[in-house]
Amino acid sequence: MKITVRAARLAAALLVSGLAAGRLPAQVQKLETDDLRLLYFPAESFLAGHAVSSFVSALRMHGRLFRYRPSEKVTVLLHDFSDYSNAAAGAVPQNTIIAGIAPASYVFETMPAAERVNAIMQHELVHVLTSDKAARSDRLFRSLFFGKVTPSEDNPLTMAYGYLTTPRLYTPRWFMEGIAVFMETWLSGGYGRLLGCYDEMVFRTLVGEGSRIYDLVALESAGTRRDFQVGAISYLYGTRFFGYLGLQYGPESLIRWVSRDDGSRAYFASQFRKVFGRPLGRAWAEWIAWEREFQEANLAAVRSSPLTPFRDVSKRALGSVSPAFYDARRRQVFLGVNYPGQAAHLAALDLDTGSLRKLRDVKGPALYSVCSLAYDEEGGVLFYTTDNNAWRDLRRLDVDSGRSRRLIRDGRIGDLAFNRADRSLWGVRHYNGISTIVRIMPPYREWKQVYSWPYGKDLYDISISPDGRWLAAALTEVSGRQSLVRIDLNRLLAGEEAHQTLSDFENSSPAGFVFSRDGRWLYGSSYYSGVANIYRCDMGSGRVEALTNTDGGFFRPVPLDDGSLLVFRYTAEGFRPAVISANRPKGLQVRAIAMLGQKLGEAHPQVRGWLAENPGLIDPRPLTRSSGRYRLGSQMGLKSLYPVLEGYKDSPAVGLHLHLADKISLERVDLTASYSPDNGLLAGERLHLRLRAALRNWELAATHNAADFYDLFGPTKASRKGQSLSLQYSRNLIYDEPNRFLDYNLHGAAYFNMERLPDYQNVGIEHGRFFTLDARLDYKYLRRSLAAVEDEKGVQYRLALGGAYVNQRVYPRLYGCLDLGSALPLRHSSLWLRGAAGAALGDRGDPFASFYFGGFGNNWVDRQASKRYREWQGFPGLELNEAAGRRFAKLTLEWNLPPLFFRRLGFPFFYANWVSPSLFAGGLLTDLDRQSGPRRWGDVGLQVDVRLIALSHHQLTLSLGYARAFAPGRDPTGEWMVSLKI
Amino acid sequence: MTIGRDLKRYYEAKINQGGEVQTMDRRQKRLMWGVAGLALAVCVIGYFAFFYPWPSSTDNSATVGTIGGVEKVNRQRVEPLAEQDVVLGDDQLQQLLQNEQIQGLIANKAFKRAMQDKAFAGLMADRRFNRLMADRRFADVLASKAWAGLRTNPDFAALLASKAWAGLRTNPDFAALLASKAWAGLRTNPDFAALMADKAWAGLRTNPDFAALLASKAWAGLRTNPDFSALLASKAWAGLRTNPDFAALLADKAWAGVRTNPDFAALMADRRFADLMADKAFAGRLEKGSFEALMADKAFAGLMAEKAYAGLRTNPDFAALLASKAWAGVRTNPDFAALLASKAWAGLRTNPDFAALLADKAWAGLRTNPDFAALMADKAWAGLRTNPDFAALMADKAWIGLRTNPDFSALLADKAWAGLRTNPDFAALMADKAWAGLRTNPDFAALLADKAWAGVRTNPDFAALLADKAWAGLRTNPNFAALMADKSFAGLMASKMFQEALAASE
Repeated sequence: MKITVRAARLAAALLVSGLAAGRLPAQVQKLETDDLRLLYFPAESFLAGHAVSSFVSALRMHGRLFRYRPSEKVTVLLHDFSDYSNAAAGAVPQNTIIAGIAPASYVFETMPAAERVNAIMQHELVHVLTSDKAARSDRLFRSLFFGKVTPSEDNPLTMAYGYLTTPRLYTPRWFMEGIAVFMETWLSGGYGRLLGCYDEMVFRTLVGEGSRIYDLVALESAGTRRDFQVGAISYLYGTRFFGYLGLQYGPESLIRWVSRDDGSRAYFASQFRKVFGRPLGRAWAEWIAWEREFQEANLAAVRSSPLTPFRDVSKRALGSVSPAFYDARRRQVFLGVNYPGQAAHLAALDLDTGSLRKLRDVKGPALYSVCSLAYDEEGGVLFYTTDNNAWRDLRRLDVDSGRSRRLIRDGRIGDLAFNRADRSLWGVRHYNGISTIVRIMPPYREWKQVYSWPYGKDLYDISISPDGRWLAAALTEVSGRQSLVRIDLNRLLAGEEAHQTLSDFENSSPAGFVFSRDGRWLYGSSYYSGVANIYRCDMGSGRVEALTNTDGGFFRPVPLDDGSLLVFRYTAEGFRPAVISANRPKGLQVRAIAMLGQKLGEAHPQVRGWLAENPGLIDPRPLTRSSGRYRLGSQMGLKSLYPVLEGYKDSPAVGLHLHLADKISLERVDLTASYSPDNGLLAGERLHLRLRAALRNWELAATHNAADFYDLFGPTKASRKGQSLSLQYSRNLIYDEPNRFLDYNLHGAAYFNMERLPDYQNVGIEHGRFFTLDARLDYKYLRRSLAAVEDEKGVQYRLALGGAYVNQRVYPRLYGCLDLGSALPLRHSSLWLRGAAGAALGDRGDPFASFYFGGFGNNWVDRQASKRYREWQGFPGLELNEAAGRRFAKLTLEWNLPPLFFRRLGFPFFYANWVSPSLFAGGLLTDLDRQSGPRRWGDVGLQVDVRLIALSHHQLTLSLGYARAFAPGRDPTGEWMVSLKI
Repeated sequence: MTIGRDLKRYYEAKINQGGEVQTMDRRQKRLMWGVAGLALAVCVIGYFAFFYPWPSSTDNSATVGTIGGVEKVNRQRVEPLAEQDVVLGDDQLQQLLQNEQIQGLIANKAFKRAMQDKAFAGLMADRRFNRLMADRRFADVLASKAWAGLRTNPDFAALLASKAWAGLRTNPDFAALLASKAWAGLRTNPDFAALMADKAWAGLRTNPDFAALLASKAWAGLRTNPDFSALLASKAWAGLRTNPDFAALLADKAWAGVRTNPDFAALMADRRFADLMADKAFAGRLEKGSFEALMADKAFAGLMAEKAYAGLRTNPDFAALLASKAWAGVRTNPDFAALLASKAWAGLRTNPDFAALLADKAWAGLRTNPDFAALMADKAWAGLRTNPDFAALMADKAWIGLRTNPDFSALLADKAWAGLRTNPDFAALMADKAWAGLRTNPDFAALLADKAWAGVRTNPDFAALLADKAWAGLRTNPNFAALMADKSFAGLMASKMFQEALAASE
């Protein structure tokens, strides 16, 4: 059917009108010194001066200790995109720190309580200097390649270039975090995690339970996957190992190891050997032995006094746990849990049977605390937060009916507490770095500001007395001091903030204090002796006394109606609920433990001199070189230039790649030019050019005889003869972190002198000049449990409308995909149903009016997703593009079997992480409108993926697959697939 | 170590006592050393038991803590920062930003769009506007149902956008009018409302004759004339003005000629004629209608003999008038008689303004105008013309200034106004107490005169904002009012930071 040009133009106009005038980005401000480029949104301007002072303070100390001067300005971007402080840093391709200014999460003392901007600078600058500092050879290669080369899967040779320009990029996470935590501890005067009691508890518990302390390979392959703390385990191990080395060999040895000085070895493990005179693996084993001995001593000290008896309630540990609430009528405890194998969820724990009943998934759980939680016992309603790593939503759940609904979107409120007296809900809101106590009255749709604390003061773990008179909480200050306070709510509501300090536990993090059912006591935990024990505070006298002596750790006490306490005791598998007595044992004695960080400080007191300069004494004004609005694109510069190898059809090509970017890599330009010396190619096909320019939502691309590295390996070819010019616009319609997104994409392209379709390599075309216009809507809401290797449940769909204009004809097409997945009771196993359907207008057999299917789609060496059989054009068992039709429908059932994690398979520089098998079976109908009936195809197959880690940094996936395809009237065909994804 | 020092002092004292070393006996020496040794031991034991290692001046690294039975962990830390070490920019504004009203504003789509308008942003930063927003009355007006209806009314929008309104809103007369007591009474007057809604009035207000009449000096004099008021209020007049004969008389050509006749004017002014009019017998002769019958009256004949009225006797118009059918009807009309006998008429007929009015061209046009006739017959008008507020309004200086004001005329002629004046919301607004308070509020006046406001009121985003449900909640919220009154708020609205907070919340 011929579509008129007029209709096509109208369709084009409709599509283009979807290009809503993009809003300009919010203005970003900048402030520059000699070494710093601080970028911030105007709402954060009140912090800019302090950020500069903190940066300068940290850089001066790091500069002194590491003899370090940044090779270029460090770009620091301040933001308020999440409700809890976090930061990331890197030096490739440019020195960058991205810092969230929200208050930190102090749960279980997993984060230092010192002032966060200062702490972030001290920690993150270490990440920058670790990679940025260059030895002579690094500097040589950086000159040769015009910068630090970013490893890119488009050009795998960049992995080698990256190593040559920045060898210390290729280090494991424990190394990066270990040195950063080590330095943060001493620069902050001891407020870092090396002097943190949580770390001590982790290793004391591993030793006490006789559990494994991971070796080098096992840590990365299994530890970061299987442990309920996932990636955070790298911090723990790195901190301990560095602490041990510092104790044994002196802190200066660590500097020598980490600092990339002239004459140092490029590979971090080689440099270790040079500095410490032994292989890294051996030192690690020595540390493990030392750690066992150290913790045995600590355990003996603690156990020298009678330990508090407890009764475990649940059959298993629950991983991370939220605050918990006891319902006396239902005899149940409600809490949030997050453990490997199951998505984070709210659960009801039966105190009598110990069984755990899932109530509702928690979207976006926080690592240790899962979510904020409060409970209306009378109404049987749980109030909880989702999106805990972004901007928190407030939701409610009826525990009887299981119905849940959102109350406040992006309210950014946590640390919830329910006031029984007036049925109000209280919380602490984080906005622009400030903590505000808020009150939410029924129907809990709107919050009201009650009191905002000055920057640097933060309230957490709040609890309200049964009579509604008092609010108790932990208060942390700029100095890092934390104390248990109480506030008169009536006075607070009248505008008087006058808190009373009940106890500061002498700087040992009061946590999880809750009122007893009669309001007389406050029960909570503290690391006062170095071990988290339960304490109670008399509301009348303020007297604090210990209730327990444990060798592990007791947290989050919940008063029960029989006078006992439910506590969560730390185990290697996570927190496990147990019941203890609420009575203080007669003659209770609690011995303190020794801390590795303290021993180091005593053995090497010079670390006390590593205290960074007080930022309050550094005036940023004379250091400021320029300030004003940061214009995107104004500081675009050459980041790297390096040789490349590509494939064009079956011939190799050599060339150069140029990479330009702005200071925060929001705008990038990449240009690749290569030449094929093969005389078998026509002269007009030997030159290959590719340009890609990305500016926020826009992307411009142009090619001339496009070549591709991966065409050198395997049957799948991306290279194409001809020229193309395309423009693409993408935008989020829904951006609901962490895992719910709806995007739309508009793409228009012009092609010239083509001989094959751009998307189908085996389909030749008569007319080499044509234009395409496509609009696509993609939605995904996918979830996975802790330590999962891929998404385990959810939904995603796509709707695509487009067409081609060829030889004065228009070929419109429409297709859609829908994937639905569900987790199975088997750990990390899931079942997926994937469907697709589409229709195109045009003559049957016309390549522009057809959809093509066939093959796994993987190349022998590839960069695209390993499981390409999931794509709607994939159909393993058939040749690439073998099945075709104007209208199609496809359905695939896929079972992802539980993956197998390797405890220790390989070497520190190269090891296997996991293997994940999948089974699939599919059906395909094409030419649905054919008179004689649709063409039918079926296939079954298996693919096994093995994740490999090279040089601590590069994730590779080795895939093996086999599929068999069937069709009426023809013999079955099989296909083997072997592919290494880089 | 005071024990040691005491011992030393004791020993020295002992030395000094005797000027020489007093040698103690062996037993005493042993005792003394024993005591000293014991004291030293006590010191050492006490030190190691309670104090070692010495507490750090920076932190509490002592192993003995303050919680009974619990050994404190040894963890030496130095507090790196105090509050004063964190030097911040203006965090007052940060505190303000935490407020839920501000947060609501930032998140409000309509507000965000409106704030992208420079005029609106400027307005929000204007202290006068802030005071206004804090004014209870303003809040009440914005919260009223009437306003709710009006703000989405296209007539209202058109009116606010009209040039006439633009001219009027800065007009001091208009402001004074709106502030006047008379207006205050009238705007709640149902007759006034009815009049404003009247079709006849609609026709009249665009009538140039009517405009000219209202502008005439004669009218200016008359409208404050108590006789005129009394006349208009009289029952007789009420009856006459609806009388078709009277209307016909007024329309009569002969009457046109007579009323401009100076002799007739002089006659009307003559005291003797006034007396005649009061005379019953003469009234009877008037009924006969002919000049001859009138002349039978000795007093009238005497008057006609006066040189001044000589012309009348031979005036063909006068004759024609007396012969006219209309006159025939009128002269037998009891209302007419009553009118002529009335005190008001007595005052008026000698009033030069009245004469001038009757001679006025505009009046000539009007009296034949069907709208005018309809108006005169209108019940509402009947009510109004006796209304003291109306009288006061007519006498009001501001009104005088306005009625000749081209903007005012344009306003009255404006289609939008036509729609509005029959709009119940508008009437309700005009009757609203809060509105009454507002219109005297200088900030409100300033707002109406403000250029920024001119821009804002035509801004579609502003309209969207006013229509927004969330905004509706905000503006009636007393906390919001308090916020608006906050000194920092104006600064906040004006700040780049706030603008970007809005943009960042996209």
